[in-house]
Amino acid sequence: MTGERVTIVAMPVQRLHMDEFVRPLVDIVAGLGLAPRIVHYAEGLEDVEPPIILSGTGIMDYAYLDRLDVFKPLTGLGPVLGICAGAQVLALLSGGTLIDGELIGTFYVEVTRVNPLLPLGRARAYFLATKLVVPGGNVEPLAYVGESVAAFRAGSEAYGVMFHPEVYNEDAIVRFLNLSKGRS
Amino acid sequence: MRLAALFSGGKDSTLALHRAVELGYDVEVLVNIAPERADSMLYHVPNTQWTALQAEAMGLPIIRLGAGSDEEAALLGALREAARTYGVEGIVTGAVRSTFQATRFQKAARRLGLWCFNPLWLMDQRAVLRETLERGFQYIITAVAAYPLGEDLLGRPVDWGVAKTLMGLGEYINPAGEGGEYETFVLYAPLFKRRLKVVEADRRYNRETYTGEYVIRRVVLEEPT
Repeated sequence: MTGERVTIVAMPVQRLHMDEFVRPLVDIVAGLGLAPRIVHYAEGLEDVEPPIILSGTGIMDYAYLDRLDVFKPLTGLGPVLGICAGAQVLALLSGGTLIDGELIGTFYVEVTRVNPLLPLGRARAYFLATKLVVPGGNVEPLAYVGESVAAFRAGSEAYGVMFHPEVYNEDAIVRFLNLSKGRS
Repeated sequence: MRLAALFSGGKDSTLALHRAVELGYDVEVLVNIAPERADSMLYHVPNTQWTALQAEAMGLPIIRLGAGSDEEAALLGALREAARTYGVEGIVTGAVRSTFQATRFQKAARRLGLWCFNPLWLMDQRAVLRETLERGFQYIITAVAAYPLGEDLLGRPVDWGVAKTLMGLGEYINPAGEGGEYETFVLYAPLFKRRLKVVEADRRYNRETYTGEYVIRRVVLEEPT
C-alpha cells in the first residue's frame, strides 16, 4: 500500500491541539509509507477520498457536534475510522446516541466480537472521552470498557474506537489501513 | 486564549510554552509544583526553586506550590489559583509520552473547566531534542538515573554532540529522557529576555545505581550575548 493517499480529518478547533491529536496520526501514516492528506472538517468533506481517519480532539472541544451535517458525505464512502470525537460523529450518523461520562486514562478493553481491527480478548487502551457512545441504529459494539462501548462498527466499512489507538494500539490503525489495500 | 504553562524548568515544558506562544496563545502565568518525593512520577525534581528565576527571565509571573503528600491536590490548588488570579482558560504541558502524567493533567484541567494542551504528545523523542537545539535553547543536564548515563553528564550543556550521544543510546534510554532517565534545566531560550548563569553547584553521583544530581546552589541573571 506504499504511496497511497490517506485522508486525515482534523477535528480540533484549537490550533494548539493539532500537534496532540493530528500529528501523531500523520506520523503513523507517513511511517507506513503512505501519503497523509489533512483536511479540517470545517473546510467541508465533499471531496475527500477513503481511507479516512477522523481524529480525536481535546475534552473541552465539542464544536464538531454542532456541525454533523458536514460529516454526512462520509456515509457509505468507503473505509472510515473514527477516533474518539471522530467515533462519536460516526455513531451519531449511524443512529447511535451519546451520553455524558468520563473515561480519562488507561483502561483495559474487552474485544467481544470478531472484527478486522482488534483481536479478541483484553487490550490496554488510552481514553480521553467525556461523551460515550450508546448503541442504536447501525452501531454494532465490538469491544467494551466496563459497560461502555469501546469500539464499534457502523455499517460495513466504518469503525469507531473511543480510545486513542495512536497511544497503545497502533496496530489497529495499520489493520484499518490494510482494509483499503488494493481497493483503488 | 489565556493559558497557564505547567513549568518544570526543563526543556520539554519550555518547548511546549514556546509552541503555545508561537501559535498566538497568551501564556499569562507559569505553574510549578515542587515534589516532596525524589522519585515523583508527576513532576520534575531537581532545582525547581530556580524556576522563579527562569520566570523572571521571561518576564512572567509564577505560581509555585510544594506538592506535600498529595501531588494531584497541589496541582489542582495551583491551577485554581491560576484561573482565579490570571483568568486562564487552559493549561499547556510538556507531556510527551507518559500517560500517567497526561491523565492527571487532563483530569485536573477537566475538574476546573480548563482546556488542556499537550503539543509535544507522542512526538518522536529525537525530534524533541533536535527542535530544542534548532530553536537555540541552552540547557544543562541536572539529573541522571539510568545506565549508561555517567557523572560526566551532570551540569553538561546539551549541544549537538551531547544530543547525538543521547540519541544513540536509544537501546537503553528514551533519548529525550521522557522516562526520567535524565532531567534538564533551561538557561536560555528565545522567550527569555535574560540568560541564567550557574555560579555554584554540587554534583552527587552513585556509580552503582547510575543516578546523580547536579544541584544548583547559586545562579544569576545576565544579559544575553
